[in-house]
Amino acid sequence: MGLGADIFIGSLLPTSTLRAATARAFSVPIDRVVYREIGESPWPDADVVLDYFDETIPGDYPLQLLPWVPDDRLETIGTALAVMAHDLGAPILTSADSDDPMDMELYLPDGTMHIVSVDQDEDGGIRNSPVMRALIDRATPSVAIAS
Amino acid sequence: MRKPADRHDPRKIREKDQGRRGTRNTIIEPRVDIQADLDAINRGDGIIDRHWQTIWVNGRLWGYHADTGTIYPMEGGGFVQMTQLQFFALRVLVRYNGINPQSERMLANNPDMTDEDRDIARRIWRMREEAGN
Repeated sequence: MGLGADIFIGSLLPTSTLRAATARAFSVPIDRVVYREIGESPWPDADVVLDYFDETIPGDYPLQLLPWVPDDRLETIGTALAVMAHDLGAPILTSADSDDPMDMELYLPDGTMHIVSVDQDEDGGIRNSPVMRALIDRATPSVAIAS
Repeated sequence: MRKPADRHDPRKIREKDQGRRGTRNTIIEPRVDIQADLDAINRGDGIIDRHWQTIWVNGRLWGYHADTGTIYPMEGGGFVQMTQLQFFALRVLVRYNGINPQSERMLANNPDMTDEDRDIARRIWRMREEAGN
């Protein structure tokens, strides 16, 4: 099992919803997806582990998760994130395959992915830039994005 | 040009600083005189590649953001390129405030983490402590 890059989800969602979307995205049974607070031990018997932080992250992406996924899925995690964004109806951010630490991949509910330039603020949160907000509005016209 | 973000400074890394893919979690050892590199760059002493937005100065390669002027470490003397797992191990040490039974238990529990991963994270943590944080 390998560690994917941190993912940031643009909505607070019930654990059951997250586990179901993760199971679909990685094609594993839902009971093989464990959602746990980071630091809990021992290591769980699971196919996918989502470690979460024990507090809500400020900014537009209140959920920060550390995904542990099967090694053979690490290279294709982007596809899984696109499925998750679609299922959850929420944007998902993760680091891009780039040397620039501000390059991130933004997965949208319409299944598209965009490279955006954004950074964690001093409080650890991430705020949508105007470019990101426009992309999200276009992908989810029925969802009002906080400005 | 402007100084790099705090996430590259072992004294300022936070638990929630995101891990990046591959070996792109680059830490700047405290011994690196960042201001000296910045001064040299701003004097025009660096070798700038405007296409790739990089600057080579004092034996180090920095990237830069053309819009903000912020630099970030890429490779060279005093830069440590950590894998995601190594950077995660460092975040565990930050979470538990150092090398102690709690952090060691969490690191030992992870089936993917090697001794080398743990050692690199501990080395960076010790740098943080020695640098006075």
